[in-house]
Amino acid sequence: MKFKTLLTIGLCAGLGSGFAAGRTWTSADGSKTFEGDFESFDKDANKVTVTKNGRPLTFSLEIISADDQAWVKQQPSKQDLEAAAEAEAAAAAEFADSEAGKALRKTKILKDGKFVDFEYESPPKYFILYYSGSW
Amino acid sequence: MKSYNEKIVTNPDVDMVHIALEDKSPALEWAKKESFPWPHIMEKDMGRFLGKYFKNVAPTYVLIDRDGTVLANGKAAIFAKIAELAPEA
Repeated sequence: MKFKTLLTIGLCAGLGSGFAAGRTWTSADGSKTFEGDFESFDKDANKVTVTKNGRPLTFSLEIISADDQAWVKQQPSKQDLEAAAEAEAAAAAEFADSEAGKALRKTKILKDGKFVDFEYESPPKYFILYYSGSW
Repeated sequence: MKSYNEKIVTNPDVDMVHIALEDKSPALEWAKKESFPWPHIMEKDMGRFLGKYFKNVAPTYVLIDRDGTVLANGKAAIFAKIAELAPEA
């Protein structure tokens, strides 16, 4: 469960900040390159944000090579990620108010030999209900 | 436990919730003995919701979505359905 929680948190963080991906970027005329981690693409403003040596750089899509432009356009845009995060938040809120969500509010998890309250930061889409006893 | 570790732990779209037939104390002892990693809920804490899915037959597995719609019954059918609906990235 710890790994699953970390994975979920990692995915949520990814939705919020974009998926950092190291890449060698080439200028539109092919004369210059630099290394940087892709952070986000704002498709409304047509701007790319890249982190270079820990510092964010934002530039117009047109100043990079056609290959880099095509690669950027394949990534989820900032707007896509925000829309997905909003949809997920709405779905989570809807679940919390649903009959299933209410029924699962008193869920516990084993921690340090005790049952402690457990709440999903982002509830899964599907639940396996395992009905059983120790006998 | 093997199926859970291999197919559920790494899949953020699915989780398993154990509905304990016992009271909290024996359920806790069992969970501690087996080091169950999944969430638990006591049967009595689920109210009328539970009766929609289980008819006093245990162990039983039911796959539901967030709306509470039943998608599959039984372990084999559930894992087949998960592979169809939520394959791991």
